Amino acid sequence: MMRLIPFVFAAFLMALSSYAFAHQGPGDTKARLAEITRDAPPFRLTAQDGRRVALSDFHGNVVLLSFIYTTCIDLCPFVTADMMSIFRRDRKAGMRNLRLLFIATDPEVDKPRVLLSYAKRYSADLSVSTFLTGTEAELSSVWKSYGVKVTKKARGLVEHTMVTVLINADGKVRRRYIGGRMVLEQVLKDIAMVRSES
Amino acid sequence: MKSERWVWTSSGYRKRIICPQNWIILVVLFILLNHYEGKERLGAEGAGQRPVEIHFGSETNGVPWELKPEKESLSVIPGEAVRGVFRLRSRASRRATVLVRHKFDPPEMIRYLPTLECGLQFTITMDPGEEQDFESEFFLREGVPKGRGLTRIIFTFELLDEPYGSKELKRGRDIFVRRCTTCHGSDGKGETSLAKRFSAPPTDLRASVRERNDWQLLRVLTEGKGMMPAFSPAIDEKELRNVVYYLRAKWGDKG
Repeated sequence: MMRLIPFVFAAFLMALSSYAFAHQGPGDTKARLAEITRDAPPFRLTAQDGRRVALSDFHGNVVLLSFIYTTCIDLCPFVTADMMSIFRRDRKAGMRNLRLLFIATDPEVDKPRVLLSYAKRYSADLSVSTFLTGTEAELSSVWKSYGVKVTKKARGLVEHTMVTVLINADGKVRRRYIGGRMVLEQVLKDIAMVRSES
Repeated sequence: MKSERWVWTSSGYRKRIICPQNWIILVVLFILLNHYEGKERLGAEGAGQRPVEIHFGSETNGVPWELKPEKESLSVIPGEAVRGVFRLRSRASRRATVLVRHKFDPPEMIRYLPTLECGLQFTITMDPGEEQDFESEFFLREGVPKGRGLTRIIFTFELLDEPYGSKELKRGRDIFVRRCTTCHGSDGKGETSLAKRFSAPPTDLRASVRERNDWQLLRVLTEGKGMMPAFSPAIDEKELRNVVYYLRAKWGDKG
């Protein structure tokens, strides 16, 4: 009977590994984060207070970056509010290195002072949240590099790809959230995982 | 029959005699494990990767317009985009402005089919016999529950009233429809599908317009409120005054 022990043990190990493999489904944080590891495209844009800000300035922090415009009447308000909420929950858990970046998709309207009043309406903490804009040319290359398609419909009315990007402390893109409905718990888990990598 | 094999023991590698019944046990265990592993994997992937049939349809709500999708249905793998091209044709006897929205059947699929772009609804004005094309793009999320193999994306039409009187009123109506109805609805009740996502529902305009004077209404439009955008400087104040005229004409006066 003792001779059976190694076999039973081996069988147990096999069962464990097959179970673990089977559960690395789409919902698994680690497996999903393994999907993307490329350098986040660099940029230098103008912040809500007129400062010139580069993505590299945030090196060493986990960055959640999204694309919004201030007169959006559907998804941008939800994404902005969700990101604020994610930040508050992360801060409440004692974390200090999450930074929020919002890049404008309507440079015609979204000048720095317009972004500033938008930030205030969402009670954004401007020491950790930055709202960025620039010239049409500057922004076009940033949109393109992040896969954001922008179509101007009218003044203050834009159709744009709704995507939020999670960037790790080494400046690598680790996750893209498509659409305007983020699952906050999942994003918080992803942030924790990304944080543990550095 | 016996076979010999090197096996690991607590005192190192040793040659051991392995009896055939042990082999049988091992083979049976292996088969059983693979069987369960297969089932588990099917479960995990089936929840996320099974294709979903997307059918396109329309609810005209009495509007004599018809919608023809380029493709009636698509089979989409979770994690892929769903792009539909549609042709609208007016069979009405007069020029009409229609608000086009979409909804899902079953409704809970809204969680798994976010639109890829901002721009959830739009208005189209067409003359009798006129045709216009539009396209709509969604993203099918992973994790669609089992038994959700078929989903319908339904475009709904709502005929918008043509305001009588001045061109200012009509201009106000156009801005209202384009910028306000996603959340407040064309009836002002604030019960749209997007409105359901707010923790606090959007203001019911029917009461709010009556309770506020023109200056107060204009101030909300220019400066925004909470998650409602500030429409200035995107739209100039003169244009926003037209919206106030329209709201007043639609829902009454503040004495």
